Amino acid sequence: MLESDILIENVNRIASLHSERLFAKLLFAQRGAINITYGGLIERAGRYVSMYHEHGVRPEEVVVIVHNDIEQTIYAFVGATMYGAIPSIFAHPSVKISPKEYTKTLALLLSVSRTRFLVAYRELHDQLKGCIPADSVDLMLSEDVLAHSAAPALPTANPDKIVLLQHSSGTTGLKKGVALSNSSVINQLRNYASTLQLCQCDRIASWLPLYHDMGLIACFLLPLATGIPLVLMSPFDWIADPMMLFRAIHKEKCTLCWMPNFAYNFLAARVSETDLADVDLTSMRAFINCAEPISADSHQLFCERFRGNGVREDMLCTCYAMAENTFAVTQGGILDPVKIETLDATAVRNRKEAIPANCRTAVCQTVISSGRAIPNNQVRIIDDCGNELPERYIGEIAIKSDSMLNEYYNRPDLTSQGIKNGWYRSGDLGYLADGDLFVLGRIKDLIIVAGKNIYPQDIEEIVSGIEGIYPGRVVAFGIYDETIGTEEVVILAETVVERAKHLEIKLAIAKAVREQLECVANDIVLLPHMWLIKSSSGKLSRPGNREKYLSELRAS
Amino acid sequence: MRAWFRKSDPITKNINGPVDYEAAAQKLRSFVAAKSKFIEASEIANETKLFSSGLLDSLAFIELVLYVEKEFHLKLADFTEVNLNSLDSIEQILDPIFKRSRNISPAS
Repeated sequence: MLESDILIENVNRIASLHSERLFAKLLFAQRGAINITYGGLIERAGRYVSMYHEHGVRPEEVVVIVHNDIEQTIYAFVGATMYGAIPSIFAHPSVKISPKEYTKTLALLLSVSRTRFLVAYRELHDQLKGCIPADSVDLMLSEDVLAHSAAPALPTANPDKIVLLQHSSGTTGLKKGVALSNSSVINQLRNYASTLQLCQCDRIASWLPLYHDMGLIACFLLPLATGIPLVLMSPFDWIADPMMLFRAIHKEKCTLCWMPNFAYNFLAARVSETDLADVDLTSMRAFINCAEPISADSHQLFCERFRGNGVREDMLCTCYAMAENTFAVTQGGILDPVKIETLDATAVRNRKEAIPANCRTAVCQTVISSGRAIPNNQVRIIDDCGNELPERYIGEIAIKSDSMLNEYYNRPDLTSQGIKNGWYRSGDLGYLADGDLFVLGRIKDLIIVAGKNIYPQDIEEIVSGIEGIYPGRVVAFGIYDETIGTEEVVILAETVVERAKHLEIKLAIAKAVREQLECVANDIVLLPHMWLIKSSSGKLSRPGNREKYLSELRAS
Repeated sequence: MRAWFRKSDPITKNINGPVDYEAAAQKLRSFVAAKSKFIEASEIANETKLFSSGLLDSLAFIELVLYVEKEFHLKLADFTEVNLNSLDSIEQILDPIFKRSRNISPAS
C-alpha cells in the first residue's frame, strides 16, 4: 500500500497488478449504479490524457475541472495527474447561484490559477459562451472525450512537484489555491492510513463533493491510491434522499464514512422509521465528524436515533483537518473513545483557560476532543505573539507536518503570511490536554454553514450596496443552532427607509446574498441608524453586535 | 425523479387532497414564516418566491415537501416535478394539486 512517492504511480501499480479490482461504485438517483475498475479508470482517464495533449496543455499547467457528473470529474482528474498537469476541481453552478456571479467567480479562479484550460460539460459551455472572453479560456468538453483514444501516462515526476490544487475558501475577492506536492499528498495518505488502521477489508461510503478537502482527500484519493473500494454518490442526490447513504452502507458493507456535523442532525431528523426497518449499519468502524465545529450533542442524537440499526458510541469519531495540511491533522475515536470535557465557562471566557468543572457549582460548557495528532504532525497552541502556551491554555492552533502545502498558488505574499518558521497558523482557537486537541472556535469571524465557509465581510459588502441600506453599516455573523447542528446566518443592517418598505429591502438582501454567495440568510434585521456598536478600534464589532442581537432582539 | 420523491402506489393514492385552497395556502404561509425569522405569515403572498428569493434554503425545501405530503396526505410527485424551480411559491405548490383534485373529484 502506497509504495511510491508519486500519487499516480500507486494507481498505475494497482491497475497493472489487479486490472479488474473495483475502484469505485458510483450511485446515482436516476441512473442506478456504475462500477469503475482500476483498468477501466486508467483507460477512460487515458482519453483525457489524449485530449489534454491535443489541446496543448503543458505538464505542470493547471487544468480546472467543473462537472455536474462525478464519473467524468474522476476521469478528468486522474487523466490530468497521468499527464503531469495540475488538476483543480471547482464546484459546478447550482440552481442557487446566478449565472452571472458564477461566471465571474470562475473567471477569477482561472486567472489566479494562471490557466485557460477548463474541462466542462455542454450546458456550462453554452452558459459561459460570450461571458468569458474567448481567448482567456480553452474549453474541453467531456462529451468530446470519447472521440479520443486512450493514451498512457507520461513518465513523471519529481515528488516535490505540485500534483494538485485545492481551493481553500477565501473571501470572494481573494480566492486562493492550496498547491500540494506529490510527497505532501502521499505523506498525508500514509500518515492517515496508519492512524485509521486502514486495511483491505475497509470500504468507504461518501456523499461528499470532490471540490472539498474532506471529499477529495479522504473519500477519493485515499481509496484511489490504496485500492480500498469507494462507494460514492452526489451530494445533491443525497440531500434529496438521505437514506441513500445508509442503504449504500448496508448493501456494500461499508466501514468508514466522513461527514460534517450538520449531517448527523440532518440524518437523525430526516430519515423515517419505515425506511430504517431493514437497514443494518453494524459493518461500520467509524463515522468521522470533520470540517465544521463538532457537537457532542449531535453525536448523541445520531447514536440514539440509529442505535437500533447498529450504531454504537465507539463508531463516532472526530477529526481536525484543513486543506493547507492536505487534510487531517488530528484524529480521535479510532482506538480509544473520543474524550468529552466539561469546562468552567467563566474561566474559558475571562482567563482563556480550560479548567474542568462541576456543572452543579459552575456555569459550564461541553467540548469534544478532535483527537491526537496523526504521525508526523505536530500541534501547538500559541499566543498573539506566536509564543507557545502550556497545556489547557486557549490560543491559536498552529501546525507543522510533512504534508503541508507547498504554497498558495502564485501568491508568495499569502504563503509567507500563513507559514512562519515552518508552522502554519490555522486561525482556529483551541487547547491541548494530555495530547488531545480541543477546538473551540475561530479567531477570525468566519461563519461555517453545513461545512461551507462564508466570510462575513463578503455578506456585508453585498448588503452595503443595496438601496436603502446605510453603506458600511452592516454586520453579519453566525449563530450555532443546536437543532440543525450548524450555524445560522444573521444580518443586521441600518436603514432610514420607512417601515412599510422594510420587507422589500429584506427580500432584496436575501436574494442578493443567495445569488452571489449561495447562502441563505436565516435572519435579517433592519435597524435605526446608530444601533450597531463599534469595537475599541472604531470598526463595527461582529462579536459585540452578536451579543447585542442575542440579548435585545432574539430574547424578546 | 428521485427515489425519495417516488410517486404513490395507485391503491394508496389519495384523490381528495386538500379541500380549501385558501386554508391550505394559510398553512403553507405559517410553515414558511416559522422557517424564516425575518418574514411574517401575513407578508407572504401566494406568488412570493420561496427559494429563488433566498427566503428558504435547500434543507427547508426537503422539510416543506415532507410537510405538504403529510399535511395533505398526498405525494407531490403525483402532481408536479419535485424540485426547487417547480415548487418555488405557494401557488406553484397548490395549483397542480387543486387542478388535479378538481378533475378527479366529481368523477369519483
